[in-house]
Amino acid sequence: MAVLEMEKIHILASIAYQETIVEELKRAEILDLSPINKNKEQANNLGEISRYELKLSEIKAVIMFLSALNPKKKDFIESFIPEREEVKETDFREVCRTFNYQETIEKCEKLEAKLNELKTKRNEIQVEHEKLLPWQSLNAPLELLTRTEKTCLITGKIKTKQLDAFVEKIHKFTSAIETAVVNKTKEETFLIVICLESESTTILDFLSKSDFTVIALPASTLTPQEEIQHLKASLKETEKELHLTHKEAAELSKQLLPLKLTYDSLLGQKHALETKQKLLQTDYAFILEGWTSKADLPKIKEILSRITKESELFILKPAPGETIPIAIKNPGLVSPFELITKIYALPKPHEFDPTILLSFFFILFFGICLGDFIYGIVLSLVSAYFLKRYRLPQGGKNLFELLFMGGIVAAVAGVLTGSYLGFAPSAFPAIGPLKNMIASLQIIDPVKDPVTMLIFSLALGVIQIFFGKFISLAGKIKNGDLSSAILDDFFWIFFLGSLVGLIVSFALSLGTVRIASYFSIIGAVALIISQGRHEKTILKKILIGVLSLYTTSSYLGDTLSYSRLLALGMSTTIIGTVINILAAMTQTVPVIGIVLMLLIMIIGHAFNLIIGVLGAFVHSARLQLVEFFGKFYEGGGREFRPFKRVAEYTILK
Amino acid sequence: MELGIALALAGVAVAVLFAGIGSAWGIAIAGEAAGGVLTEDPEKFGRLLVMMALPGTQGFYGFLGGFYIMMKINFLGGAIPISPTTGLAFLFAALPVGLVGFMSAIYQGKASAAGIYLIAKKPEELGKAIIIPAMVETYAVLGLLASILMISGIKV
Repeated sequence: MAVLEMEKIHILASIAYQETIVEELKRAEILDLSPINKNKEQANNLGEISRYELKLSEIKAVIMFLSALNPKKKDFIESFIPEREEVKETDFREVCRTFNYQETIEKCEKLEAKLNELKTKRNEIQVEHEKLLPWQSLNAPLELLTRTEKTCLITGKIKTKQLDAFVEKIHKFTSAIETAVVNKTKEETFLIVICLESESTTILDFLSKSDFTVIALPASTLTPQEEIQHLKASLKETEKELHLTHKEAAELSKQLLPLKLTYDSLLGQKHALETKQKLLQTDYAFILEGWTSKADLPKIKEILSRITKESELFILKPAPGETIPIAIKNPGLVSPFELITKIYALPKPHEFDPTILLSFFFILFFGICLGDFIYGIVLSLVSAYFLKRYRLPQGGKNLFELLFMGGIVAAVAGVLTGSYLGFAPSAFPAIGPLKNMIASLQIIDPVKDPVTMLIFSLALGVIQIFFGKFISLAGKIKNGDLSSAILDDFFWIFFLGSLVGLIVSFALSLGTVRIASYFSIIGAVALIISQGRHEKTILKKILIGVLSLYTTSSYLGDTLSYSRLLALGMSTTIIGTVINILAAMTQTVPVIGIVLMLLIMIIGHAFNLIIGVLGAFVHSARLQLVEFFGKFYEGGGREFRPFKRVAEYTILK
Repeated sequence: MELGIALALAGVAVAVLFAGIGSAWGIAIAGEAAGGVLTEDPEKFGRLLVMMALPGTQGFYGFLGGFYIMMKINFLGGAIPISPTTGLAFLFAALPVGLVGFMSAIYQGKASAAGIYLIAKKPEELGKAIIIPAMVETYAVLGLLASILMISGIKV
């Protein structure tokens, strides 16, 4: 339940120490820097910043070019994690100082241009080659295929279907004409039209109106056949050159690491300039404004006193209406659940952190939804492996920590509901007293008796909804809103509580039916009187009061929503059972039967586990965010973003 | 084969058939959106795969409902003879999971596509993007639940 208490501070110091102080604060990552400098006059280094941006985009283009040349293979998990290089800080500085990135950029740009040029050339050759192919049976130099002194030759193609009609038509058009078919396929026919030079314009005009497409062949002293050979040769040469250039570029990708370091170094310099703009400075001093948690205040003081005595730290009172950044902190086991809170939103400054409140319910629901002993154990083991194997960002780390815990709870739920990889305890071979012991641990069988499990799920829902209402009540009391706490929350709790009592007494035919019904009526009347209190006229007050009872249906809906716990828990178990049944069917298959069985078991159960985990996570999260948060939580605070090193490719060790 | 068994099998078919078609359809809708995003940014494949898998659950629910009926009449181990009325009851019991699954999977596919566009612009919001289609899925879960309760209540 911990929203960290924030302090707004000003640091005033001599300008001589500006860089050191800013650098040290950046390293500490405990200050959320806010811009204090609101007048634009001082922001005169915009030009410099845009110069940095230009350089950065140049380097980035080169990095992308080089990484595209030799893409790294990533496994599924790695594709979620941004790729970072780990370097020592001293190495980082050394590389950035000595590395001539300008030269590499120029080389790369040249290579890229050359590659593009070669690719264009290759395409052109291929197009030309395609164009000549139908004409290769012609045994004459291509340049002869244009005109002689008196005649004009037009090369082109027409759809084979239309050929006969075309020839007929053109002969009708003029008698001094000849057509020669060069190549005929099912689709197209390539032909030469020969006409008198003097008539060529009218003929061309006629052709352009018909279905004939003129093809201009290149002028050359070679025959089409020879020309094709020639093109093939130059294609080969271009390919070879392309290959060499690729190799050269791949050689350059050794420079990828220093380029990345340089990028981050320049990014850091740009960031420093931008930071400078946020400060207020004179010739001798500067002021820095920011937020920090109360707990970190001594650290900042310590940093300042270590650097210089010529500095002062002021704690300011935030202006009314000013947004205070929010950071939440929870003890070890609960902290992964911050992920769920953050999916919704961080709390507002006056609210409390709901993480610890939802943690118990979330993990319980997750366990029930997955609900299998073996699946739970496997999930925990896999999560533990991922946590060890990969360097995950905060969110990913939290996710697998949640799955690790969820796996354990699922294993327990599996024992209680008697689900072991989809097998019931009764299916186990009897080895001593073990079978009976395991069977005795099962307290409920959802597959045979879903109604009991349904009631259990709904009961969990009722508990969580009441819990949410009580939290709302407590929150209002804490914030001094006593009237709303009693009139809204308490009355509703009273009314809903007596309704639940009524239902339970009915179901179990207890003697408390009468009392519970009186309580419900009292509750309803209290709500009718209280809920319309914001309205002006008496009539409206009563009307709104009566209407408010209708909200009961939304509470009913919320409660029914928890029935998903049964449905999801059962679906994992039953699908597991189905996989086992399918696997058992292979027994009749000779020889490879056992292989088939193992395959079905492994693939089937892996698939069911993944789908089950996805469903369990999503639906347990939803129950927290919609049904639970809806009762008391508003959210929407601005996240505390500590001032720290910016980098895209590197992590300093 | 008796009419009762045939009707029960019709129930199995309704459950598996419609929910399965719906899921395939929904995944295709999400897949089209994902394909578009991947042309710009292939790195997001992992995230988008999760989004595409979401409308797939209805198919499982349908299969599960169908299989539950088969277990109930012990179809794979030489079916128990049941009356036509009982068979008809199984057919009715299969309707919620089949039909709600069918429609909800398609709409969940659309909601998933919306989530995919959200991830395209803000990859860090995967959590919120997953919750959007999950809202639709609630009703498929309720359909499954209704079918399961009905099937388990039928006396054979």
